[in-house]
Amino acid sequence: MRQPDDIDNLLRRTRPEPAPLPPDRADALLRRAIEQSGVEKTGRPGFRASLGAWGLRLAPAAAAAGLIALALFPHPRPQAAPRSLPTAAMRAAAMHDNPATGGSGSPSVAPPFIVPAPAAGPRQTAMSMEASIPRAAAPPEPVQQSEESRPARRSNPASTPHRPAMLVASAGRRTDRRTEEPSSIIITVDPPDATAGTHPAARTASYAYASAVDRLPDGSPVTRTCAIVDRGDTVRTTATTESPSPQSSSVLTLVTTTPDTRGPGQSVPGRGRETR
Amino acid sequence: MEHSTAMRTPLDIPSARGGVPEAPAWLDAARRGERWALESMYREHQPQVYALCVRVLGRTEDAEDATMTTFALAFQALPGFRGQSSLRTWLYRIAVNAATALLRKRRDEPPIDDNTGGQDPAGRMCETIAVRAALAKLRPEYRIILILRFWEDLAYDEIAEALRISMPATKMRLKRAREEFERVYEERP
Repeated sequence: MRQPDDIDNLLRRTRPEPAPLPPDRADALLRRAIEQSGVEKTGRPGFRASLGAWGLRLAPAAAAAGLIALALFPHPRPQAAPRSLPTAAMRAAAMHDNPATGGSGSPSVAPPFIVPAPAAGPRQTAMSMEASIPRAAAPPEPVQQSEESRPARRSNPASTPHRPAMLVASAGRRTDRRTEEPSSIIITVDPPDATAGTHPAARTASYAYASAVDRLPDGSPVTRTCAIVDRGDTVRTTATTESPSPQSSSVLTLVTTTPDTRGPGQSVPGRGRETR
Repeated sequence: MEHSTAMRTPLDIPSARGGVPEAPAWLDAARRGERWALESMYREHQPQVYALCVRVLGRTEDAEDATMTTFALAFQALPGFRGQSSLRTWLYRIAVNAATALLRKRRDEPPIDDNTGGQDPAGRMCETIAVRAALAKLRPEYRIILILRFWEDLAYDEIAEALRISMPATKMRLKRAREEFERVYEERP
């Protein structure tokens, strides 16, 4: 049986002395830490970064709420038709007989017919919630792959003229020097105040995302998300805010699979393709 | 612009052991988010934080991630740092949380990274490997408290500060961690 002092001494004399970080890696970490914290100059987290973070936190809840709504109301109910639609003649009669409109005001005439507000039923509720759900990626269409690496880009259809500057995201994976297996993912985004991160199971699922906060014409913020990387892909690109890691083992181009014709607030998935 | 005070070594920052901690000159500027001050804070404390993360996680790439997370969180939380503990202990607390989160997320056992300076004499290599393997098998809270005590050389009160537990709880956890380590170490093949 060892004495406690033996254990203490054993631990102390086997204390490892890690090699310090190389200066370039240390600088890169500092840059990323400052970017991620968003505190530079202001002393508090950046407003846009906070909105982006909250958007990412709320996205799963919105998706869950949408799914629940769709489960509760899977089929649109037929619109309940008004019992009696006002004909032009009835409206004219009402108008004519209404004292407020200069009519005769005869008490025998029914009050003006009020047209019910359309579509206040559950169908519209479900539809409006669905609109906030980041949908799954549509089946990828064949994409023309150029020789050089290009990051994922957001299309800017005319149907959504307020669509903002593109969100470009890329991810690079480091390779374990000993096992030669991918070990972690670095994500870089443009604009730099966009939010990026990895899925909690990134090490096994290789799933990365990026998002940025944009503003609609009325000034309301909307979070946009892109760059979902598939399992097994290793990604890196040149158009990033950070130089690619020299340890990355291959290059991946992120391309948008379908033209973005969705409304504001919806996600646009990017899809990875490996271009070794 | 010259910031001579930012060039102080970590040893110049008094720890909780030395009584009331003295605030570094760049602290107020760092709270306001001035980049030079954030850089000063990083340059001063990054080596220690990174070394702690390597010792806990055993993998340099994970340690880099944890270090980055630690400083990002620290930069955000700096306006709320009241200086009741030393900045080093405060950073250790954040680093321990970041490293623990990574440890819990990681299902496999951490590899024994040989990128640790290579200063062990050949005769101690087996012992070193056995100790690290035994530590890797411990529960994260036991591993971390042993590392803080014997590798980071923190005092009990500093460990209590870093782990946010009471002093008796610190001593009790350390005792149990030591016993568990001994059990695992003795039953190695």
